[in-house]
Amino acid sequence: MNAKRLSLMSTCLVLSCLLLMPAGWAEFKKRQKVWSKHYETPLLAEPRPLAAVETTVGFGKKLTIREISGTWLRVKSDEGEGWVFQGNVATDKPKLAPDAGWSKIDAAQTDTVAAARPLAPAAESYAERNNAGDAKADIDWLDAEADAITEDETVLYMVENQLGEFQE
Amino acid sequence: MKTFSLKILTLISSLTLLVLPCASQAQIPGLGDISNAIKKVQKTKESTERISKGASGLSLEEEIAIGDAVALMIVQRYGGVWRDEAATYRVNLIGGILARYATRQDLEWRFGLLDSDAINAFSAPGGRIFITRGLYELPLNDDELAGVLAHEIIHIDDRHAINIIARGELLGGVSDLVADNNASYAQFESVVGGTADVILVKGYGSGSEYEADEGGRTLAMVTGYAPGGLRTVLMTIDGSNGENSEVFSTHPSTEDRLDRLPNDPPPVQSESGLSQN
Repeated sequence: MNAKRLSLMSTCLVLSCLLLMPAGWAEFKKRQKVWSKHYETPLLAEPRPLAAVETTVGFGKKLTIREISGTWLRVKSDEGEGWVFQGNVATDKPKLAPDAGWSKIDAAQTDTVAAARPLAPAAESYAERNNAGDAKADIDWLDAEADAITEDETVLYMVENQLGEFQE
Repeated sequence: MKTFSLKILTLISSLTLLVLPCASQAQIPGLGDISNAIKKVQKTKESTERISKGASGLSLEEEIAIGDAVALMIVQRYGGVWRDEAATYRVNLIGGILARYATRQDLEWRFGLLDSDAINAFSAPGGRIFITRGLYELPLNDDELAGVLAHEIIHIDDRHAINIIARGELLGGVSDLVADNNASYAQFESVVGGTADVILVKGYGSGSEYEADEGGRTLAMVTGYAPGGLRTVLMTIDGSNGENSEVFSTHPSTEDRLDRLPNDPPPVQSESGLSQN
């Protein structure tokens, strides 16, 4: 009876630990399956950001880890093999493509980090009905500030501060 | 005689066929069992539809609409947006870099500061994240700020609020409103109010908070920030002896959160050159 209870408790403990594990992030292992999560993910010839591009995979492609080097993974895809920074893959298959956002302007039309992102129309009318004009003006200001940050200055900041794939 | 019997049989069959569709609308004497069976089938169908909606969650369009309205409520309740350009630039630059490595690339992430002395941070569905001026001015170096923002990103990445909404039964009318059809404002505002109540008052629950602590630590680390950023912030707050009336009021106790986080050393002072104030 005690052994049974102990076994049940162990099972519960293991299940609790599994439930508490953050989805999407885990330690990587060889032969593990991961998924691309950006529009285009270049697979590189070497584990460094400015290496030559071997091939490029689209959104939601299954990749198999062949080798691990620090924060970089050498992966195999249907399109070929190459190195990818671990932050650029997901351990669970992503549900929605980067272009799923209905309010997005075509990313090609802007050089900002994120395309212009106004409040949703339903939220705008919510603001009108609830005397939230000041809050709406605040969020509009916030969006303008965020939209003004360019991709170039972000990448420069990442290089200077050794962030993301620019870590050494 | 035979023809007469056949006519009677046909009449009875036709009457039965006419009565059956009505059985779900009203109790027909003598047909109680059939009526109950039809009710059961209808109930099962409704349950299946509810489960299906809960499993698939809201559409992205619905998530953004609800999240934006919740963001308006957060801004209203916490003194408006603190319009400090340098601080807003800093939270959007660091937050945006963290979000590049989040699982959800379908969102346009936004980071803002609330003009409030409280020490708190919030994430609205759809990718809007806020931290209070009181928290920002603790002060936070880049690793600590990244730790706080990464925790909030994980709440959205793992759909903590969306899952709570999808489990509820308040969704009727949201799709119509988002699609700008015959809108049910009351129902939309009920969902927005319920979501804001979870985010601002009740909290996501300790399980989701611990998940966001651990996931946020990993996200910060993967991005290149020190893993101990959030831990250091929690220790600073824990050492302040409750001087601030509102400190992470919707989260589990700081002690419990510290107990569960790995014992990472405090990050060294950031030298990113970004103004902290």
